[in-house]
Amino acid sequence: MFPDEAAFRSLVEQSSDTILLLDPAGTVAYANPAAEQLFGRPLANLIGEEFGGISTAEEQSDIYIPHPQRGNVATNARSTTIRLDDIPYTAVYLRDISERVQAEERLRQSSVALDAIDQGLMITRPDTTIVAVNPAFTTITGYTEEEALGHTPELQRTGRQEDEESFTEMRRILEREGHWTGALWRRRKNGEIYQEWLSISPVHRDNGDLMYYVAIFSDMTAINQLRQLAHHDYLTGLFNRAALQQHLDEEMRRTARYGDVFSLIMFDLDHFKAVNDRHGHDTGDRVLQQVAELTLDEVRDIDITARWGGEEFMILLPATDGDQAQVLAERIRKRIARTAFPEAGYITISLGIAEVPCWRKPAGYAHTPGPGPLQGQGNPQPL
Amino acid sequence: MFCVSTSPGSTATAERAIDNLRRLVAELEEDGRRVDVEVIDILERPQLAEDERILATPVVIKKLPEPLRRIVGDLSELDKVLIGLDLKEH
Repeated sequence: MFPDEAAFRSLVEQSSDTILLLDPAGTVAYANPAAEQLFGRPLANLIGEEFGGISTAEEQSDIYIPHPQRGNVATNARSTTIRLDDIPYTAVYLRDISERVQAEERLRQSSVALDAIDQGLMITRPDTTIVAVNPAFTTITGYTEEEALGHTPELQRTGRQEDEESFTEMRRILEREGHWTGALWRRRKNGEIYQEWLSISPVHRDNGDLMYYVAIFSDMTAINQLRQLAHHDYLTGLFNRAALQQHLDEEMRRTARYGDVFSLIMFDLDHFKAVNDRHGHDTGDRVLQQVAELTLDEVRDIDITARWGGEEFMILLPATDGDQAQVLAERIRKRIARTAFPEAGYITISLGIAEVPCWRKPAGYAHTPGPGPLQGQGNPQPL
Repeated sequence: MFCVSTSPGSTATAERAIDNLRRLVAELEEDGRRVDVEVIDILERPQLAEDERILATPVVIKKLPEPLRRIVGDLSELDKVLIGLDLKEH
């Protein structure tokens, strides 16, 4: 009959788990060769020693083996009663889980530190199942630990095509290179879409197998707002002077290299001081905001509209000659002149146009946007 | 009782074993028995653990009344522990 007794013996002897047989007094009656390693002593010194009875929760539990060199080795213990010649022996199966326990402890210790930081933390298995998050994760994403654990980062997908593509690309690079850093658009629990700066690194077992991915991320909303503040006019939301100057420099370089042409329109509001004096600065501010909105409504997506200062506005029109700029300038002038501003009534603007480079300057207009608009205050001329 | 309460991962098991030991003591005292218990961390007193020839922790050793008995594990099966320690009839 197969397996015969010798086969059973070799099954037990070659097991990588330790197998002990305890007599009713808890003394070791048999130990397989794996026990030598676990207990750190020869089998002869183990057999006849008193292990004790065993009582563990449910079927299995952790017990610790004091090893002369390795300290206390964590094992997972299972036991069962075996009757031999009608004497109840206890078979004990011990599996060395020290590596797992140490890894979890390291993870736990690092999460204690990471609980305190304001960057979001997410730890996933290689299949991207989330196994740990920190409080900042909840602050940023709106998902609690219970809501996140067991799910995958799919939880936060925005559903937008371009974000899906970025996500797929990120996964591809992560699999190929092992780590990834960059910005991604994600969705909070409340539905809000936000950008996060994300860094993903792998954690490997001693044998090199991938064990976890650790993702650290921060919410870019605040920094995006700062960037917005740095480049935009706080009142109108248009680009500010510094941002326009930057675009202007770029456009000059581009024009010089490719022999292209671009144009500038500058305008200011006539008698704006009187609007402020008569209706107050709040009304003046609202007029500036409404002028900005009307202007944005007329320009093309590629045009750069800026508040140059006070009541002065400047529009950079890439790949546009002076004639085309003149058409747009006229549209803006008419649009504003025909608008009844809720508090200030009718307002006119004066404009100047420049084509760059300047050898094709349109008749009747300055070739640079100069210190001020061409038409004098209160005398808007038909362009 | 011998346990390891300060080594990575072992704290939870040691705490569970100590809790169960408390329940066990309470049960014995209800029966009017006097119980003296000593909890020893083998990392703090390794020589004592060696003298007692401890093979695994947590372990509770009953010294008196004789016979000497020891039970390994978190002691969660109270009845089985009492029987194993020879403090209750089978």
